Amino acid sequence: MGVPLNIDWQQILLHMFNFVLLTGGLYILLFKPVKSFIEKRQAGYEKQRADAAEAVKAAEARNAEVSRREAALESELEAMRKAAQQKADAEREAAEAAARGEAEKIIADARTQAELQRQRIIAEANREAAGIAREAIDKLFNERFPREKLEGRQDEQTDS
Amino acid sequence: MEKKARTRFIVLWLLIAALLLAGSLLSPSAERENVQTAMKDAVLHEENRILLFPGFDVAPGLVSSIVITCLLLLGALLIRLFAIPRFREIPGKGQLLLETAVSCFDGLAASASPYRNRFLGAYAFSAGSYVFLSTLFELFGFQAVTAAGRSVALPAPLSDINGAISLGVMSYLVIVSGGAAGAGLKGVGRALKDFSLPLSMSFRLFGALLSGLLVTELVYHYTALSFVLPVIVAVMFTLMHALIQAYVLTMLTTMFYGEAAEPLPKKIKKA
Repeated sequence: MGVPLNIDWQQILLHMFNFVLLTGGLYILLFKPVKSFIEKRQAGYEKQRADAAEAVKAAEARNAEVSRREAALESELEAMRKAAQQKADAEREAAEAAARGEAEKIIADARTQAELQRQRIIAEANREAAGIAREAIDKLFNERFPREKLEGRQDEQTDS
Repeated sequence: MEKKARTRFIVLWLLIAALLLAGSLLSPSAERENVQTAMKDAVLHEENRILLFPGFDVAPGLVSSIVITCLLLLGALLIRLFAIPRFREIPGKGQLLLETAVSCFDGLAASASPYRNRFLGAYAFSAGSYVFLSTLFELFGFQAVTAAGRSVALPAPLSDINGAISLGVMSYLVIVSGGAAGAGLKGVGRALKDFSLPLSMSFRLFGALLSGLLVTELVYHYTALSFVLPVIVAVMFTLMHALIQAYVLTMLTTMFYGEAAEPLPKKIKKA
């Protein structure tokens, strides 16, 4: 027993040999496959996270674009609203002017018609008055000078 | 009625247990080695040696080491063939256990040594598994026949001084190789500066596991101590040592490896 505690170099080397075999075997059979599985899964998760971040970024960009377009649309709508208002005002004024002209024309026509009507009525009335007067004169004449008497007188004159 | 049957069962059970206890205490035990010899042999392994091959006897620790290596490699092969191909994105319990073990040692290596830690992770995994499972191995009490024809329970391999030295020296060699790979001669110098490291690592392992072995040996040597007490002793000196020593060895190895493998700072050329 030269070495204290029975330290045996041969057995130490055998233990080492045994442990080297175990380390290699465990590395090939367990450590490497499990670690590569974990890394692959982690890479998958990283990719998913990156994809999600990219999707969020794209969605934010789209959102910003929509907001920008919404703001532009607001101003565009305002301009359109103004233009439509102006057009409507112009059309209304034109329609009013046209209606006013037409109304004036109608009034003028009505006036002309009324004047003509009045003149026609006056003429009619005059005619009627003349007729009435003629009838009255005829009547008066006939009363004063009855036809028989007049005819007698005529006959007398003729005889004379 | 049910209560009566239960009482009868308890009384019968206690009676049988008491009879067995009395029998074991009163019956004459076979002649066996005295406690001094048993404890001396647990340290020196002079008496109970096992024939590995005809004409080549070794300490029981080496046989334990070979058995554990075979069992571990067989288990790893079965896992590689049948479990790993069925790994899923969302792990089950077994997969989670394996992933946790690998991540734990790999993470320990990565945190202690940010440089060149791929091999270190594999080494830490292997050393940690070996220390943990080989310490638990003694709980099973596998029997082997010595060259003298006596039956012995196979001990934890690291309770053999040769096993502990081999692991301590291996760890130190890994540290030196890490220093050489990471920082060349300067790294080797850094590792060699801690020349007491293999000695401290070896004897820490040996001392921790031997203490458990000696206490267990002592407890089982006396019949009166063989009841109830072994449960506590086994938990204290086996489960705790298995965890603590696996952690301490891997932690020290990765820490010193990290120090040795740190690359040298680049020299800034003066204008």
